[in-house]
Amino acid sequence: MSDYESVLRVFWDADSLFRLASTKLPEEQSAALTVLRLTVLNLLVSVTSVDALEEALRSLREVYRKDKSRIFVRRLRRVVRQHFRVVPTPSSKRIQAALSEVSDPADALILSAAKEANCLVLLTYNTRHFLRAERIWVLTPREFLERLRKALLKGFQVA
Amino acid sequence: MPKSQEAKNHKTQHRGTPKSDGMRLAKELLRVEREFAKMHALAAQMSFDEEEVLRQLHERLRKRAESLLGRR
Repeated sequence: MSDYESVLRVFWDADSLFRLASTKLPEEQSAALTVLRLTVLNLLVSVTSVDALEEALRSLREVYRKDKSRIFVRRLRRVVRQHFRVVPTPSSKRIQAALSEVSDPADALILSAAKEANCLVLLTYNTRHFLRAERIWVLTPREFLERLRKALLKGFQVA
Repeated sequence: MPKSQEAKNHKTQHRGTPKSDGMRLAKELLRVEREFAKMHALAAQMSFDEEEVLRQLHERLRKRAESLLGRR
């Protein structure tokens, strides 16, 4: 990527990664895949953490039988390796600090990783858990695309 | 019949030509589309409680975070 700093960074929570690979909700599937397409086209940078990725992969292993889970795990791993930035587990100090914005330690783990990676958007299906989160947009993939559509239109409207 | 030197050179040059960025992106997008279409088709055949799977996922993340915070 030529100008990494000027590209919008979007953090994927574990549930968004899981639904990217496997969901029975066609609209959610389509939205997550569209965010991935934008990433492949370098229009935004997708970020996740080792913790979110590991837990999403673990859920895929638990849902699918051995042979099928291998397909899901291998493909999700590959797409993340090729198109995502994977950030390490945040320090306990950072997680503790994030607990002032969310009450659940799981959400603090995700929020602190997203903020440490300088992401402006957090993609999750637990948006209600992050109502007090500051300096970050917490959206489902579908809400994110809706906002993106509006921002695109606004960006080209003649004053 | 042996190939002419010109034909051989042409082939070598062709092999060595790097793919354009557009072509590389198009191929990658196609690959991603194909792979995810297959995954989604497999997912549609499976019966599982998606909300429960996500709840358990969240629970494991909580345990992980609590362990990092030294709460366990």
